[in-house]
Amino acid sequence: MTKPQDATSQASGMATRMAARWRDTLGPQFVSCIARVHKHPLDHAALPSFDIPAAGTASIELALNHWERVWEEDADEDIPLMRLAAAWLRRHQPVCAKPVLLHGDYRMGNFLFTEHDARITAILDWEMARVGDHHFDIAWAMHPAYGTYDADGKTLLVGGLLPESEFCARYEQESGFTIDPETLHYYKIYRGWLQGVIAIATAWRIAHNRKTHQDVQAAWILGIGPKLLAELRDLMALAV
Amino acid sequence: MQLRADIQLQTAIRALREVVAPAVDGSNALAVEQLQIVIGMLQLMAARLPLQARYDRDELSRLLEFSTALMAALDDDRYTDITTTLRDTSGEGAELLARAQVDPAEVLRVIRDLRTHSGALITAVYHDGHDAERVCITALTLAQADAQLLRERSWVLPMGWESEPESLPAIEDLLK
Repeated sequence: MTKPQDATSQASGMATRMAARWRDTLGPQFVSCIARVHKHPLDHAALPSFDIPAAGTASIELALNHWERVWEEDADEDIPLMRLAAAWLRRHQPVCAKPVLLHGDYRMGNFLFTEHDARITAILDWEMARVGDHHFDIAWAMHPAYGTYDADGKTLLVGGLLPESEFCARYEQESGFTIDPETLHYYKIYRGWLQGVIAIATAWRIAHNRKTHQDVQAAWILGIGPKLLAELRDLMALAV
Repeated sequence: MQLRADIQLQTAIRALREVVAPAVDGSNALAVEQLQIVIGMLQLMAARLPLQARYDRDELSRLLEFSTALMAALDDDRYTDITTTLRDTSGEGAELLARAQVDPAEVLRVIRDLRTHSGALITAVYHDGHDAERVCITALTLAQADAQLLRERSWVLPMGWESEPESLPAIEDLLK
């Protein structure tokens, strides 16, 4: 299952609220799994279908090229903030010292676990996997929409499982990678821009071109676009 | 704003026709009939919505002609109270019609052109501009986004995406 039967949530993985016993058991595994993914060997034999960019800015540049093209192809109307974010991201590309295998959509709702022993047994939805900076998966998992706030109403629980500080500390310990706050903020902005591409441009194209039997869901997703862009706007305001 | 009525209607109709309709119990005549009526209503709405403003302008114009002809046909002062009210309303209508000649589709076209061209300018300034120019257009774009996104979030508020919906102003209070 992707969430306990006694948990509450909105759409898949969104705002999942879990009891403490689940947080205590699933939280550490949630961190361990992404640390293991990031430590996966990076060579052609291990990942024959992947482009493996060199250290430096190659991986983020590839990602920006890819998603900017998606925006150009899918968007119905332009958005000045999206143009600003794309230009800002290009201008401020951080150096990635050691690219890793990224899941690309690592969050609550994208893993399976067995309820009787609270053991994570599978990681789902690998279609956005690529090689890049580990900060991307961390920033993605930390999105507030995929988490919930603790009983105090102030402490964000990553994936509804563990506080941000604990999530980062455990990750650093298990992966051996450090989390640089400035780079993490960059990837939060990148996350916001990428979500804008998907939730506004691609969702519109899917719905408009009658691409699936779920066109109405794609159109419905357009409605979250303004909230996602408002978060992107606020993150950018902190960075400039 | 991307979530406009056209895409909502198109996808809702398709979902009803291709997903919901086949799943409706054929022996439930009331449900089958009302589903077909709902689909028909939405199809009519999708077809006519782009013409709604034009239709209203046309009706207003024709009613102005009609009321003018009515008043001209009567020189009896027995109806003075009514004709005075009708004349006042006709004057208001004529003034309104003069201000309402722009087609909403034209407004939308220019909105989209302005989005495209201002976006292109932002990209160009970040690519070729000076630091001071980048700082300036960044501040302007963030301010524009702040106001724009507040309106858009308020517009889609009934969809339930907001965690604190009460913190957003009503859309009626945000439009000029």
